[in-house]
Amino acid sequence: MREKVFPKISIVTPSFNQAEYLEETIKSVLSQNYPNLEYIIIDGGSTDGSVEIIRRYSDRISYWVSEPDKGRGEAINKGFQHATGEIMGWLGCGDKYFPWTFEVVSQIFSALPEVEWLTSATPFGWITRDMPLRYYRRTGFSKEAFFDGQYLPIRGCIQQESTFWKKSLWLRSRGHVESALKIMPDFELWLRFWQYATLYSLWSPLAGLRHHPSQGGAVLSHFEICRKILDDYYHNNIFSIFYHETRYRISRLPVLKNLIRYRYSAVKYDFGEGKWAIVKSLKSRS
Amino acid sequence: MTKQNNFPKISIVTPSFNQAEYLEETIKSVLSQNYPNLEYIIIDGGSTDGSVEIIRRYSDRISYWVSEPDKGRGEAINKGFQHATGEIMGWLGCGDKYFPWTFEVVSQIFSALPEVKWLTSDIKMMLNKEGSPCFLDESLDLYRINLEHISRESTFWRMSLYNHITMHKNKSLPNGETAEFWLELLKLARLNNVSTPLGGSRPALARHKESSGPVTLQRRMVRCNVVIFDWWEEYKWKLTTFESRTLKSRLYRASLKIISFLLKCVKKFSPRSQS
Repeated sequence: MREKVFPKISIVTPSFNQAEYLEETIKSVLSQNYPNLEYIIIDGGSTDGSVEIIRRYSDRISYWVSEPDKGRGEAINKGFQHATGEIMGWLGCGDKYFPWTFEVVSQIFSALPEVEWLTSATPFGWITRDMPLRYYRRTGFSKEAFFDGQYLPIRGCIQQESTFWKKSLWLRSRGHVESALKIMPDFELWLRFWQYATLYSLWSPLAGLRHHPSQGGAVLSHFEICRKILDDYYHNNIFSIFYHETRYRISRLPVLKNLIRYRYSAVKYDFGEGKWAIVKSLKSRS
Repeated sequence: MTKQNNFPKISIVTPSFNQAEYLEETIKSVLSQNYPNLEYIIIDGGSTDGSVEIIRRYSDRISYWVSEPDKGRGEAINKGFQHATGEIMGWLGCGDKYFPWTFEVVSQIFSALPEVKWLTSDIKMMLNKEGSPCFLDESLDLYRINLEHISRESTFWRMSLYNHITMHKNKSLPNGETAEFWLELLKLARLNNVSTPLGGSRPALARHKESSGPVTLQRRMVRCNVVIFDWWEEYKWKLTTFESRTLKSRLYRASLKIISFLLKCVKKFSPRSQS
């Protein structure tokens, strides 16, 4: 049996006045007992008892601070400045990992050096404290599809909780999160990541969003913001925007969608060989 | 959040034979869920590798267990089900694992939807050597599941349905006749499908030895209802049925298939795609 390697994983949690859900999030990270974990919590000066919860776990948290900041984006940036791990990810307050997440992620990143960022193709949501349910599924993620706008919020986005990346990729793509964006700061980050590396998708569930009835889900404003980010990438050139939007529309039509095929890369466990392997150039119908 | 749960009794049977390495993991995955109304039965085939010691360690929380030689796994399962008194039944092979939320999800669905007679998950998880779920094999259609995709560790059925099947009562279920058991259940009630992972199996053990019946059976597609959760409005479990038996929809789908085939041909022979 091969020796186990545990690359250092850094997780950042921005929190602000969500004491109700904060403890579940912290538990889902710490209860996996991953030996080489760096957990960072950046609190925006909460007044509802979040600080007491963080203090209770402070012996297992590498760094935490509670001071007023300008928003989620700034908190995430502040957290990643303290991160030293090889693998990075951030987990919103209330969202939860699965019990096997770090084990699977560390296995893949140490077995396959070409994987620079990784996500799960089956985004999950937590109905209650411990009941996950899949939202929808994808066959995989491809660069062309991203730039055609397939992964805009309402159309089904790359779930931020279940995405992990290497520090080298983070540094290469000007490692920061746009702090001016109040919601969906991840979309702008993925846009930069796509320009440097391929996203590998995994079929195992990795993380889930905490769902509660008061929450609205992906709404039109999220869509508009991400649409604007994508349009800015095309320098608001009306022709390229039209071209990509048309491609998206065609891929949604019942028969004509066969004309547009996206190639995606995936990571799969090979049970014959007993190791992780890459599945490349699979044709997928959006 | 969902308060529809009245904790119906769940009976789980585990047949075991000389697999002490994985047995403890299996027992823990059942008992650590702390489900209040659980009946856990272990039928050991006279193991000699320390399995009995492991079972004895947990015996205060196991409803019934026995260790005596039997003719195989099929007989062990039948023996176990004869002792089962629960409202919902399931069967977990040695080495397979449930997830921490399995009984909660299953009991909620069975108590919220009385029309659900048996339930499976379209997400089939496999465990690797370390026991972490790393592969997710699923049929891509929610409403049609391949018979071989119905895995034993993520399938649960009602006692009433089981009592109808005399097959089990009279003769033993040989190894590798899962598909035939599913077919018996299918004759009585429609399959229901939920998108939560319910159990993980370990393929390196008995999986490859045990085929689930003849190849013709495996390829059979099973039409099923889908149990969904209303995220946005009522926040409760619901059942969606899918009827595609009308002539109109059949014609529509047939024409779609023909057109897409023609398009594929056109694309294959067009000069652009050659490069």
